[in-house]
Amino acid sequence: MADADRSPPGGSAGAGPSTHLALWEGLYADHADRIYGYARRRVPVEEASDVVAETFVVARRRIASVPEDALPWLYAVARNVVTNTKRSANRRAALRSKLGRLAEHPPAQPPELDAIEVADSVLQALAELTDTEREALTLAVWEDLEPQSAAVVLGCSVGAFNVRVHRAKQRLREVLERSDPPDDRTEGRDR
Amino acid sequence: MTDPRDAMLDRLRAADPTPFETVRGWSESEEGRAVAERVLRQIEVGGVRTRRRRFRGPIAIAAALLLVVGGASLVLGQKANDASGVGCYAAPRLDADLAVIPLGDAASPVEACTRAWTSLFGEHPPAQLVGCRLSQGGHAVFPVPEGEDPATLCADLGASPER
Repeated sequence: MADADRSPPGGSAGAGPSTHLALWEGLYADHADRIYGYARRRVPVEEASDVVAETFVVARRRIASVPEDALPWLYAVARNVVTNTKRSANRRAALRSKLGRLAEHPPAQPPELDAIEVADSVLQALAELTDTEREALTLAVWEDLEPQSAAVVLGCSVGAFNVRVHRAKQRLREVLERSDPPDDRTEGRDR
Repeated sequence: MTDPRDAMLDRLRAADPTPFETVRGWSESEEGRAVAERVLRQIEVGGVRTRRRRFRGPIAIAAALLLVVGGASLVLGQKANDASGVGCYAAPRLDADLAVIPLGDAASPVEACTRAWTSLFGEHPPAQLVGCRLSQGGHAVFPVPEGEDPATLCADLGASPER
């Protein structure tokens, strides 16, 4: 294995390189699918595998620090990787703008929405939430994370996470009610 | 967590653009295996470069980020003569995860680690970092726990604050 793996990582002096490699391989086998799914929802499909790669590079480097319940930790790393990816995309977009090319190419949707079929009313409504609300709600509903795990991903308390989800649901409901076509009751009244 | 009877959440669940069923087994696909190999190769290449530089003497550390996990003080000690190498520690301990990076055009070791932190450790840089000069002469940068005096932190680690 790599030269770097021959040094005993901090915090687990007893574990050798082969143990660390096996740990990493176990992490990848157990969680790469989930991280790939997370990435697919947030970046263009062609960049999703790069997000997985960067996430697991960090995991390989920090294998001694990966907690036993690794999935929330991996999601948190992936979240930062996605944020950086978006920043880079935004910088590129800003540069294009400065170069005056924007008129030729209509502005792209926010990167996190690229992978989302915005035609669907629910997703359109979701796009109207703040980043914080959307992230909390999708971690709960799409990633199916318990509040304790989702709070680790977001780096907040469980209480704060629950508040974000509550607000997100409220806002989503409001947006949907505003944008959904009139229901039967309304139609009946109109007749 | 979420109320399973909530119809709106059911709609949201149904609108998931990437349900887990569609990515289950991805890690064993050709693409998934290629990504795993890419990660391991990347780590391996970084490691080989580290060793070669070490034996070539005090050559300025090149552009690529080099990472050595653990063995922190030993590695930094060997880097002591290389003024352009900076050890970024993930925690205020000498046995913490460590990345050795080039100083590059950064004005200070702290700036170099701050810039590289997210790509090294997958998280935002801590609110405060301190640069210390280790007894062997290496540049080391540590996160400062809230309320702790940076100078004291360096001293506790057997180092002196970077000037």
